[in-house]
Amino acid sequence: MTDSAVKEVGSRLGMEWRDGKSAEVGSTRRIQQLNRLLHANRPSVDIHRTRCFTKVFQATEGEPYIRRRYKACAETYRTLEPVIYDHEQLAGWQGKRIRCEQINIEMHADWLEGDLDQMRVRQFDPFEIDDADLQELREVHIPYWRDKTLTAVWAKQVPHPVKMVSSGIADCVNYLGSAGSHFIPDYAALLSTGYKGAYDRVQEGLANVDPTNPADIGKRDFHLGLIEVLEAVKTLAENYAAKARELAAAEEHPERKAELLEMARIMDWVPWNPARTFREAIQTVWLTEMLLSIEGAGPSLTYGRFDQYMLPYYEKDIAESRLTREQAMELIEEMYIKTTNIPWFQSSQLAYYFGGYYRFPHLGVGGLNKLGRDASNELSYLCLRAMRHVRTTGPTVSLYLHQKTPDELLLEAAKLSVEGMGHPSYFDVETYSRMLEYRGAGLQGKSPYTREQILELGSPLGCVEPGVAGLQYGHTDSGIVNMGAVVSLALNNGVKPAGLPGWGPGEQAGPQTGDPATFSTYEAFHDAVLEQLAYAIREVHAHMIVAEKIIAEQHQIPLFTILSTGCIEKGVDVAAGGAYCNIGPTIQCVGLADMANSMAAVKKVVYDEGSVTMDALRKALETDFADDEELRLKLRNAPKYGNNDDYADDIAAEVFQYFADVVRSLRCYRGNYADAAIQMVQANVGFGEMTWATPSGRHAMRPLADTMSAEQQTDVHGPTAASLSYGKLNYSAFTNGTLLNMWISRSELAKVINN
Amino acid sequence: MIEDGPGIRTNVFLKGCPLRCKWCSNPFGLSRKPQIAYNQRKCVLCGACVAACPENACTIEGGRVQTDREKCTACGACAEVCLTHARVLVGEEYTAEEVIQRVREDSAFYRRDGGGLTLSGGEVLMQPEAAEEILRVARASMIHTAIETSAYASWERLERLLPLCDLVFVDLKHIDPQAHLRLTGVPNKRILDNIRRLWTYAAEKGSPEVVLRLPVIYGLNDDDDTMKATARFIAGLPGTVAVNILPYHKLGITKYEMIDLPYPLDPDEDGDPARLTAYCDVIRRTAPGASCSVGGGEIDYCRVRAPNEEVLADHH
Amino acid sequence: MLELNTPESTYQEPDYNPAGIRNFMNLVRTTLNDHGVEHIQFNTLNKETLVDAQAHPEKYPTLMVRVAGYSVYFTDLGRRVQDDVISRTEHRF
Repeated sequence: MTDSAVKEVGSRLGMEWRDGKSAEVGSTRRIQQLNRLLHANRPSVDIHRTRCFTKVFQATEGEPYIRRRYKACAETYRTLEPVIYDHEQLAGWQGKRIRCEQINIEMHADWLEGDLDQMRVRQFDPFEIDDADLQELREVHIPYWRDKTLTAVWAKQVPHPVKMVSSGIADCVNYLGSAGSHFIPDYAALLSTGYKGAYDRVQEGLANVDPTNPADIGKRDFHLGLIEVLEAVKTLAENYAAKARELAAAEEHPERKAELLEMARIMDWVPWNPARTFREAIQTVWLTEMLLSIEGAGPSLTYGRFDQYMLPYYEKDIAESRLTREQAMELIEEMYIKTTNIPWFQSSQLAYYFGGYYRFPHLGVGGLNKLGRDASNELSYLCLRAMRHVRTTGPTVSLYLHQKTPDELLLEAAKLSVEGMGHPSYFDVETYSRMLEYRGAGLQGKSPYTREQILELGSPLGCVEPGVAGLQYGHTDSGIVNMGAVVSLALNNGVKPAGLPGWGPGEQAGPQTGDPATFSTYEAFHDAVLEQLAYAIREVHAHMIVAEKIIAEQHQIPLFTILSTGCIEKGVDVAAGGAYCNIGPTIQCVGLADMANSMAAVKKVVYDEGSVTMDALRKALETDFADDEELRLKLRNAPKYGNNDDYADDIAAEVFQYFADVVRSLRCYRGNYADAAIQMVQANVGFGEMTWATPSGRHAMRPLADTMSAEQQTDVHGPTAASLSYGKLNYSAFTNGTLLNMWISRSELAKVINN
Repeated sequence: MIEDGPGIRTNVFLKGCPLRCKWCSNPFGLSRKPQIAYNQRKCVLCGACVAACPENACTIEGGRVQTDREKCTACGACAEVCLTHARVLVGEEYTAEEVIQRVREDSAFYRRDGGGLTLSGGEVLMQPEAAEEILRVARASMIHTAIETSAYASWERLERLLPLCDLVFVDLKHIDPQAHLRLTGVPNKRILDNIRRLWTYAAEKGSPEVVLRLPVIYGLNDDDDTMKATARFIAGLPGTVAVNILPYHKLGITKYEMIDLPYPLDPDEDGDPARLTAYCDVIRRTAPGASCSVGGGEIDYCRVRAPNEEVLADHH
Repeated sequence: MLELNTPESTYQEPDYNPAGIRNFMNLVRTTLNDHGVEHIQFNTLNKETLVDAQAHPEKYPTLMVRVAGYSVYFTDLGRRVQDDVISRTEHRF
C-alpha cells in the first residue's frame, strides 16, 4: 500500500463511527441502551477535582501536606454532583458527564499547558472541555500547580531529568505521570464492614494518639483527615439517594419509578454500612472503584477476585430467590460499561502510542481458595459470559488458571477468546504465587506474604503484576530499560548513535565498555552488553527512588489508605509506606527478543562462523544496512528466540535472569527491594523509534519485539515451539510480572466471523 | 471424537509415494529423494545459488532461477547460501532416533488431549523399516501413534505396523479399478483387499482404531454410481466403520511450481460442497453401521508440522 | 455449560471449530500450567481482517485487539502501532 492510501483514523473519528447502534449490544435492552449511551458520549475533562484541590491548597499554604491532600480529596467527594441516567441500576458517575476525566492537576499541570490548544481536536484521544473551564485551567489552576507537580519537583532534585524522560534508553516518564494506581482494595473486608467499619477504626486510632510520643507527630492530621474523607463518602451516597428520590418523584413510568426508589434505598445503606445483598455489594464495589479513579492518576484500579468476594452475596440472594443469574449478569455488564466509561488522560505524544483512553483494571476469576482448592464458581462463568454480551474494552477480564481449574471454565474463557476482542488474559496461579513469595524481597529474602494470603487474596493488577488485595502498595508500572538500545551502546563504546531522536544522539550515554573491534571473543562482547544493561538499570533506579520519596511526602492518598489493611492502625498513609508489603518502584525491560537475537546473531556470524568481522558489522549497522542487505539477511537467518532452539533461547534466558538479578539487588525508598518486569506492550513501537539498527537484522527506528514475545515473524515453528521457548525463562525472578502476546488465527477457532 | 482428531500432533512426513493421484496436495512427498524447491516470490535474483551449485544446474533466466532437474543432485549447496529462503532442501535424512527426539520435545502437548505422533507421507509403507522403528520407539514411550496410508503395499508390510499403531487412516481414492488406475496410476485390488483385511484385523484384535478416508474430487469420483458402489463396499466391512469424507482443496498448487511439476487438475474449478453431504447420506443409507463425517482435510489430524518434510535414509 | 436465559440478548455464538478450540485450550494449559509462563493473552483475528480494517476503517468501528494489559478499538490506534500488531506472527496449529 502506498503512503497516500494510509488512513490514520484515531479515536476521534473511530468514536463517530461507533456512535449509536453499532455498539448497542448486551444481554438485555437495558444494557444495550446503556452501551449506546456510553458510546454516544465523547470523553471530556471535568475540572471539579482540580477546583477543589486548588481551593483547598490555596487556603492551607504552609500546612502539612497530608492535611491538605486529605482535605482536598474530602472536598472533591463531598461536592461531587450526583448524576443518574435512564436505565441505570448502579449509581455513580465520576463527573458531570459520562466518560469525563477528573484530571489530577497536581500530576499533569507541567505538560498540560502545551496540550490545551489541541486537546479538543487532536486525532488521538481528544477530550472535550467547556470554554470557561479551559480558560479557568489556563489562568488559575495551571499557573498555581505548574511548578508543584511530581515531575517538576523531581526535575529539580535529580541529575539527568531530560535524559530520563527522552533518551529512549532508560526512562521513567510513565511513572512520573500516574501516581496513585495499581492497587487492589481489600473488597471482602470493605463489604463486610462498609466504610463505617473504617470510620470506627479511625476514631479509635485518633483516641489512641499520644501527643507526647514523637512517633505520633502528624497522626492527628492523619486521623482527622481520614474522618473528613469518610464523612465525605457518606455525604456523596446521601446525595445520590436524594437525587434518586427527586427523579423518582418526577418519573411517570411506574417501573422506572420503582427502580429509582430502589436505588435510593440502596444508597441510603451502602457503601456506609455492610452490604447485605449482591446488588448492595456490587454498588459498593463500583462506587469505590469510581472514587479511586478520581483520587489517583493511574490507570489500573483493580477489582481483583470479584468472583470470590461477591460469592457469599450471590449465593444468598439466589438461595432466597432475590436474584436470578440473568439479573446478576446484567448488573455485571452494567459495571463493565461504567468501568469502560472512565477514560485515561495523557499527553498528545503518549496518546499516539497508548491511545484509546483505556485504563486497565483487572477483574479475575478462577484460581484457588486459601485452602488450595479450586475456587471457581457460577460467578466465574457469569463474569466471562457477561463480556461476550456487552463487548466493552474494560475491565481486563482474566482467568486464573491452575491444574485444578475445571476444563469447563477454561472452555468458557476460550469462547470469550474466540470473540476476537483480546479478552481474557490467562494467568498461571502457581507462577504468580511464586512471584509473590519473593516480591520486593531482594535476591536473598522472602516477602512477608504467607501462602494462605497469596492464595486467598493474590491476583494480578495493572497488566500482569502480581498483587495481594489490601496488603500491597507501590506503583508497579515504572522505569523502563530499552534492551535494544543497550545493545547499540555496547557496539558504540557507550555512545548513543547519531541520527536518533530525543536526548543525546552522539553523546556518551553509558559507560565506555571498549571499542568492539577489540572484542576478541563472544564473551568480551557479551560482557560489554551486560555492563551497559546494568548501568542503564542503576541509572533509572537512581532517578526513580527520588520520585518515590517525593510521592511519599507529597502525594498522600486517603481512600487507598483506608482500603489497605493495617494503615489506619499504623497511622501511616499507604503512599508513605503504610502497606503490609511495600513494593516499587519497579523496573521493566522492552526488547528482550531484540537483545537475545542480536547477541545470538553476533555469536553465530562474527564468532562461531567468522563470516563477518565486527568492523564490517559495525559499518553496516551505522548505515542501517543501506549497502549491505546481504549481511542483514545473514543476521536475520541466525537462530532466533521463540523456535525452541537453545542457541538463541539460552541467551534470552540468561539476559532475562541477569536483568532480574540486577534489578532485585536495588533498594527502594520505603525499604523494600525493586522488582523486575516485562509488561508494557505498545512501548515496543515508541522505543523502537528511539533505537538504531540492531545486529538481530532489525532496521533502525522499526518496532522492537513486544514484551517477552518472540520478534515479529521470526517464530516460524508454530505456537508449540514458541511455547517451549517461553518455558525456558525463570519466571520466579521476574517478581513484577511478565506479559506474553500470541496471535492464533481466527480460522483455527471458528468457521464464521461473528461481529 | 475421531472426526476432529486426537489433540496436538507432531507430523512426520516420509518421502516417496507409489501413487500419482491427480489431486495430490503434497507433491513434495512423491519422490523418495531429497529435492530442491524454489519459491520465486522470495527470490531476489542475487545469483548466489548459481555460483554455489557444483553441478551448474542453476541459471537465471526470465526473471527466475531455472533448475536443471537432470543435473541437480539435491546436495543443498544452493539452499545453504540462499539468504531469503527462496531455495530450500525438501527432505532431510534423519535416523529414527533423531526423529523420535523431535517428537519427544513436543510431548508436553500430548498430555491432555491424547495427541501424539502421526507418520504421514508420501507413503509410510515405502519406508517400512524406518516407520516400524519410529513407531516402536514411540510406542515404548507410550506416545499415541497414528499412520496415514494408501494401503498400496503387501498386506505383510502393513500388518507389521499394526501392533505399533493406535490409529490408522486409510484412503480409498476410487472404488472402480479402471478409474483408480487412471486417476492414481495404480490398480486398487490390493488396496481394497488390504482394507478388508485391516478391518477384519481391527475387529478381531480390538486395535488399532481404523478410519476410512474418502477424498472427494469434483467430477472424478463424486458421481452417484461411485458413491453407491463405495457405500456397498463399506457395508461389507466388519464392525462399525468410521468414514471421513475429505473435501478437495488446492493448497498444494504452489508446491508443484516449486519443484517444476505441472498441476494435474484445472486450478480454476471448485468442488460442490453439496456433494459431500450427499455422499454422507448415501453411506448412511447403505451402510447403517458406518459413522460418517465430513472432515476438514489433512489439517484436521496433523496439528504440528515439522518445518521441512522429512525423508528417512536407509539407516541400518 | 452454564445455561442463561437472556431472550433480549444481541449475542450470537459463532460456529466453533471444536478441534481448534481443544488445541487452543491445550496450548493455554501447557504454556501456563506446565511451562510455568505467568501470563498469556491472545489476538484471535485473521490477518486479512486487520489489513482490510486499515484500508476500510469505517467498516470496522468495533473491531478490537489486545495491545497491552487491555483491549482497544483497532481504528483508534496510531498507524505505526497498527502496523506493529499486523506484523506479529499469526500462528496456526
